Amino acid sequence: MELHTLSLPQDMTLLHLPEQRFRTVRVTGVFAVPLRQEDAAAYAVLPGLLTRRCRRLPTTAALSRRLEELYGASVEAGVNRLGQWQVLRFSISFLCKAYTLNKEDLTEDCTRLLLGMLFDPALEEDVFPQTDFEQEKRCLLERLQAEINDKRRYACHQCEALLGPEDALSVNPLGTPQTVEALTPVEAAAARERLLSTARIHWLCQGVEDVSALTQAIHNRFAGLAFRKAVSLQADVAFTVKESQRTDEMDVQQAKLVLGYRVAVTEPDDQVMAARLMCSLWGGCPSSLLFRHVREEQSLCYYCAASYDRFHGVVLVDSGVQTENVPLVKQEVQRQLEAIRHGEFSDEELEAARLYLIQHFTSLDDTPAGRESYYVGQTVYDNYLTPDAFAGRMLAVTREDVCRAAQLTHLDSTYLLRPVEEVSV
Amino acid sequence: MMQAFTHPLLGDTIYTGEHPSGLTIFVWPRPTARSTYAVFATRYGSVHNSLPTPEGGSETVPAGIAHFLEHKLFESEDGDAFARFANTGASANAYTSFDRTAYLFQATENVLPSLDILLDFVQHPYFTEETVQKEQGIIGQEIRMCEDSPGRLLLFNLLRGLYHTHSVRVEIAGTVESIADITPDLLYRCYNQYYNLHNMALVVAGPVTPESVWEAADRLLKPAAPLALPAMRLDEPDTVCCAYTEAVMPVSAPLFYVGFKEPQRALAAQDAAGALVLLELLAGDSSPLYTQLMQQALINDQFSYEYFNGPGYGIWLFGGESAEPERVRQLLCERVEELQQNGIDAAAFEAVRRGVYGRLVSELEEPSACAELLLDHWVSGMQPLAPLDALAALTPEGLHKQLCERIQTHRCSLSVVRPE
Repeated sequence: MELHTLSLPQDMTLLHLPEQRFRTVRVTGVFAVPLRQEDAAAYAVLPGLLTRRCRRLPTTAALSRRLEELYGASVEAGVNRLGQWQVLRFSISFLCKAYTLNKEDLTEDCTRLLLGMLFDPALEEDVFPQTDFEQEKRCLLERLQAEINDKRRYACHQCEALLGPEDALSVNPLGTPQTVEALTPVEAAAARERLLSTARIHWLCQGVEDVSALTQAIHNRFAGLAFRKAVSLQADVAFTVKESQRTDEMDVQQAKLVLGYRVAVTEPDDQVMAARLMCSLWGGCPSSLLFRHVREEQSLCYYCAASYDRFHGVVLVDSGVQTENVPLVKQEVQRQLEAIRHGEFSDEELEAARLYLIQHFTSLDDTPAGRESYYVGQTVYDNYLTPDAFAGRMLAVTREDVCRAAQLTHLDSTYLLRPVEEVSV
Repeated sequence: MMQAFTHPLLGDTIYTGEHPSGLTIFVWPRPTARSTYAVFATRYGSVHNSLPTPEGGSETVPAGIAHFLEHKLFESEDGDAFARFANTGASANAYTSFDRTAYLFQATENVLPSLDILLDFVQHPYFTEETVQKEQGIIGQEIRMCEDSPGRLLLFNLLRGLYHTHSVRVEIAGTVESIADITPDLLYRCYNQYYNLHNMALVVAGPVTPESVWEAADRLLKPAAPLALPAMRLDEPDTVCCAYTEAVMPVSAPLFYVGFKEPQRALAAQDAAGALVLLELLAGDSSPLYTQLMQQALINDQFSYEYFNGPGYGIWLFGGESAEPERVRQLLCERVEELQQNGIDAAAFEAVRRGVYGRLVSELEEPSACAELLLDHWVSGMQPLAPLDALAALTPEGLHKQLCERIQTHRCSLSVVRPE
C-alpha cells in the first residue's frame, strides 16, 4: 500500500493514500487534544454540533438533503480516547466519479462541505444557537447515561476506572453527566476555537491521486486563524501495580467479570509487537488459550477475551459467567498467563495467534474506513507502518519475546458486576 | 459451469451456477482486495421449527435447535474446525438468524485450504451425548448474556406483539429450558433435513477465480438427493397480536421499537428497493418527521430504522430512546397517513433515491459486504443485485402504492423497556 506523509503549514500533517481501488473517496480530519476531565465535555459536544448544520446549509434537513444529492455522501464525526489524547474525527466519504450516474467528480463539493462544517458553523454572535446547543447537549448526556445499557462495556469501563483513577484511562472522552450538564454554548464555541488553534491535526485523504487542491483548501481555511500552535504532551504512564477490587450488584442474569492487568510495555516501545502477540495468544483470537480452556474445555462462559491497550499498557480480560464460576474463571485466566510466562504453549498455538493478527490487520486494508482506523492510532507517535510492514515486524517476534511480555503482565484490578441477592464471592 | 454477469454500473463481473452436487455457487472476484470472504449457508434458521414425521405429519423441534446445530458443527471426531482454521490463519465464524445459518471465514492468505476446511466441516456432523451436554453449558451462558441485552428484549417483545403464531416470535437461541431437550438424534435429523446441498449456497468474494472455487466444490462435495422441504405453516393473521408491550430493566431511559406488520407478500426486488427509499422519506435525517422528533426532544441521535423480512414475516422497524415512546408512535403513524393521503413529493423522492443508490454502492467495498449481499438476495429468492437495479425503475407513484399496501397504521405495535 502506498502511503505518503506530507507536512502541511501550521503544524499539520497529511497522510495520503492515493490508490484508487475503492468505490469511495474519504477525507478525514483527526484533531487530538489532551484528554482532561475538565474540558472533555466541551470538546465532545463538537462533533454533533458541527455536523448537524452549517452556515451555508442552515438546517439539519437542508444538510441531509444536500448529502442525498451528493449520492448519499456520508459525514461521520466522533470522539474517542487514544492514550492520553482526546481524539475528534470529522470525515466525509463519497462515491468516486466512476460510480456516479453522470460521471460527476464530487471531490470539490464534498471537501468544501467538510471544511465548511469546521470553519463556518451556524453561529449567532459567535456562539452556537441555544436550541442547537441544547439538542446536542441532550444527545450527549443521554449517550453517556446509556452506557449502562450495555453491561459488558459498562463493566469494562468500571475496571478501567479502577486501574487508573488518577490518569487518562479513567477519563471518559464524552465527559461526565455533571460536566455535560454544566456546559454552556459559549464554552462550546471556545472549545471549537481552541480545537482549531491548538490541536494536533492530521488529515487523511484516500482515493484521490492529486491532493494539491485539498491541501490548498485546508491552507486557505487555516490561514484565516489568528494563532495556531499544536499542543504537545509528555508520556506519563504509571506502572505501579495495586490490587483493587470492586463488586457491584445489578438486576442482571449473568455476572460480568473484568480482570485489569498492567503490562509494562507501551507505545512507542519496540516490545509492543510482542505484547500484542502475547495478548492474541492469551485471549485475543478464536484459537486462543482462554477460548480453548475456559470456554471450550470447561464450558464456563460464552466469551472470555483479552484486549490490549498499547497506549496505557493495559490488558482487560472480560467474561460473562455465572457468579458461582467466577473463582474458577479467575484461576484459569491466571493459569494461562503463567503458562505463557513459562513458555508452555505449542509452536502451532503461537503461529495461529500470529497469523490471526497479521490477517486481521491486513484485512483492514480492504475499506477506506478500515484503513483510517488502522492509521489514526499511529498518528499519536507519527510512526507509520503499512499493514505489510506490520506483518514483517510481527513475524520477527520470537517465542522468548512473548514470554517476556507475559512476565511483564500483572493483575492490578478486578471488577465484578453480579446479579443481586447472590452470595458474596 | 458458471455463468458470468457484468453489472453495468459497478463494472464488476459476478459468476453464478448450480454445481452438480446441488449447491448454488456465487463468485464475486475483487482482484484488488486483500482479503477473501467465503460464506456457506443453508436456508435454515430459527423460524424453521418443524421436522416431518414418518407418518407424513410434522413435529415441532425445541426452540434454538438451528443455533445449537451451528455451534456443534464446528466439532468433529478429530477436533474442532477452529483449530483447523488456526493453521491457515483464517478468521472463522458462524451465525444463525431467523431465516438462515451461515458459516464463514475471512482470509488474506491460504484461501483455498481455508475453503476446503469450510466445505468439509459443514458436511461432517458429529454429535454425541457428551458434546451436546457440554455445548448446553456454553449456549446457556450465551442465552444469559442475551437476557441482559435490552435491545434483544425490545425486539422479541415487539415480535410477540406483532405476531400471533409465527415462529419469528421465538428467540433464535431458544431458552435454557428448550435447549435442554436437544439430543444428538434430533440434531442429526435437523441436519439431514435442512443441510441438503439443494438448500444451500456458497458465496465467495475477493481475489479469487470462479474456476478455483468450482474446483474446490468438485473436490469436496458429493451430489445430494433432490430435496423436498416441509412447507412452513403460514396461518398467521394480518392483525397484530398486541398493540403495546412493556418490560423493566436496568436501563438509563425508556427504549422503544415501533413496528408495522406488513401483510404477507412475496418480496420482489422492487419491494426491497422501495423499502430503502420509503424508510428515508418517512424518517430519514432530511424528513420533516425527524426534524420534529428531534426538536421536541422525543428522540436522540440513536434513532434508527430498518425493514426486515423472511418467510411469512415482514416488519418496518423504528427504534431509539425516548421519554415518550407513545408520542413517537403517534407522530410516526401521522406521518405515514399524511404521505398516504398526499402522495410522495417528486423532488424529495429523487434526492433520496440518489442517496440510496450511492449508499448501496458505497457499502460494496469489502469482500464481506459483497458476499453477504449476494447471500441475502439468494435467501430472498432474488437475482444477484436485483434491488440495486430496481431502484432505477421506481417512481413516486409506484412507491406511494407500496406505502399504502405495505404499511398500515392499524397493524402497529409498540415495545418499550423502561428503567427500574
